[in-house]
Amino acid sequence: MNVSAWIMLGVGSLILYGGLAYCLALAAGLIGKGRKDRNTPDE
Amino acid sequence: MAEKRDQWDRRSSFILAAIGSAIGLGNVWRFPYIAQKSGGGAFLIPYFIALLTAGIPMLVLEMGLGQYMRGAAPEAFGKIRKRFEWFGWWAALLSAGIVIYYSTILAWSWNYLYHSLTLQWGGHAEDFFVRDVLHKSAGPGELGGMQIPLVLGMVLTWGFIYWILRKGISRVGKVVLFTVPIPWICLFILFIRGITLPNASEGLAYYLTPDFTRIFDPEIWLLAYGQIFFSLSLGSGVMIAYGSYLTKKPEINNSAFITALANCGTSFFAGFAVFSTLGYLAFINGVPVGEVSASGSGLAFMTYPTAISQLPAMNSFFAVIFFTMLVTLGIDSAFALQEAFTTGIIDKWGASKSTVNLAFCLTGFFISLIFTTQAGYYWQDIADHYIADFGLVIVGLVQCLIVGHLFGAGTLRKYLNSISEIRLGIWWDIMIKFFTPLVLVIILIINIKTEITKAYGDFPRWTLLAGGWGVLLGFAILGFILYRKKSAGSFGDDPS
Repeated sequence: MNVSAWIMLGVGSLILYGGLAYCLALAAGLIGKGRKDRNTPDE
Repeated sequence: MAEKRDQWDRRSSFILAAIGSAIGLGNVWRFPYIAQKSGGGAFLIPYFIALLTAGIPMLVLEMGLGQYMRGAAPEAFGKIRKRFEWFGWWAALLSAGIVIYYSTILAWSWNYLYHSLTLQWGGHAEDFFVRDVLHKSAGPGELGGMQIPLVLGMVLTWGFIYWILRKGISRVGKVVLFTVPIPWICLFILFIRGITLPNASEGLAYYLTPDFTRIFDPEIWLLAYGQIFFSLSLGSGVMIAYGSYLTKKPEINNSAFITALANCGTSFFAGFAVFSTLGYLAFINGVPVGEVSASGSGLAFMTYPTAISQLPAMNSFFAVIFFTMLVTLGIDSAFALQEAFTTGIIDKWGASKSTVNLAFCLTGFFISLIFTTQAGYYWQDIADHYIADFGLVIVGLVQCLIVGHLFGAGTLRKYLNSISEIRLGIWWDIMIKFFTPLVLVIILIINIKTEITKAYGDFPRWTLLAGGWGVLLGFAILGFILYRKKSAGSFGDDPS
C-alpha cells in the first residue's frame, strides 16, 4: 500500500474507532459529566 | 386485555438492537464497493461529512421522537398532528414491505450456509447461484415454479423472526447479545484470513488509495449521503419503534452517536476483509483487482464464494463463517423492520405481541413465496428499488419537515439535551430543518429523473407498476385504512 492509503487508513480509523471509544467511555461514565448530575424530566 | 407496554431491560440492549438493525448486508456488500469506486480513501471525506450532517442528526431525531412520544411511527406522528398518523402508517408499511423481500436474501444465505459444508458451488459460483439456487428465468414475467430449498430458507427465516418477536422486546434484548457480536467475530476471522493471503496488500491498496479529484464530483457526495441514509436504517420507522421502548430515564444523543459510529466502523472494517480476499482472487486468476471487484448479491453469492473455493486450506470452514455472518447480519435487521410495523399495530389496538407477530410472519411468509419462484430475483430487485429509492427517501424528507418545522426541532433538542450525555447545538436544528431535507430532495429529484429517462433494469413497464409504484400506492391506501380504523386504549394521548 502506498503512503496516501496508509494515511487514509489512519485518519479513518482514528475518527471511527476513536470516536466510538470516546462515546463508549462517556456512556460508561469513565469520562465527562455523569448523567446523575443532569436534570432529567423525571426528577 | 391489552398487555403492558414493554421496555428495554437496560440501555445496552437498546444500543445493541439499534446497532443490529443498522448493520446489515449493505455494510459488507455495498460500502466497500461504493468507497472503492468513489475515490477510495478520499470517499471517507464526503462519507464522514454525510454522517455528521445527516446520519447522526436523523438518527437522533428518530430515536428521540420515539422516546418522547412513546410510540412507533403511526402514534409518534399522530401525536404531532392527528392526520400525520397516516404518514406514520405508510412508513411502518414500508418497513413491513422491506422485511418481506429482505427475507429472500436470508433464504439464499441459509441455502448457502448448508452448501458451505460441501462447497457445493465448486469452481462455478456464478452458474451455481443463477442456475442451481435461483433457477433464474428470463424475466419477471416468467414466474416458473417455487424452489423448494428457498421455501425452506423462508420457513427458517420467518420461524426465527417469530420466535424472537413473540416475547417482545425482552427477547430482542437477549438475542442481540448474539446476533450483533457474531458477525463481528466472523468478520474478524475473515479479515485475518484475508490479510494473510498473497497479494492482499494489492487489494487493500485498491480499496484505500485516495483519488482526491473525485471529491469535487457531486455524484460522489450523493452516493455518500445515500449510503449513510440507507445504512443507518433511516426512514423506515425502526429507530422510532426502538426508541419508544426506552425507559423513563433514557439517553438518546450519545446512543445515536454510538450506533452510527459502530455501523460505519463495521462498514470500513468490512472493506479490509473483502478487498484483501479480492486481492488474492485477482492474484490467483492473474487479473487486475478491478476485474474481480463486485457488490451486492454478486459479491456475496458469486465472487466471494469463488474466492473461498480457491483458498489454500479450510475452505468449508471459511464458507461457513462467511454465510453465518450474512445470516446473523440479516436476521436482526429483519426483525427490527418487522418490529417497526407490529409495534404500531400493538400500540393502536392493544393486541397481543404473540398474535400480531404470528399473523405478520404467516402473511409475510406467504407473500414472500413469490420471491422463491424463478423470477423471484427480479421481483425483489424491483421492490427494493422503489421502496428504498423512493419510499424511504420520501419518509426521511417528510419526517424532517414535520419534526423540524411543525413539532419544532428546538423543542425536541432541548428535551434530548436535558437527558443526554452529549449536548446538541443549534447546528442540529439547522441540519434537520434545512440541510438534510435539501439533500433528500436532491436525491429524490435525481431518482425521479433517472426513472423517467430509463425504465429501471430494463424491466417491462407493467412489472415496475405492479411491483414498484403499485406497492407504494397500495401502502398509502392501506395506511389510510389503518389510520381511519378506531383505536383502543390510550393511543394518541398527549405524551406530556
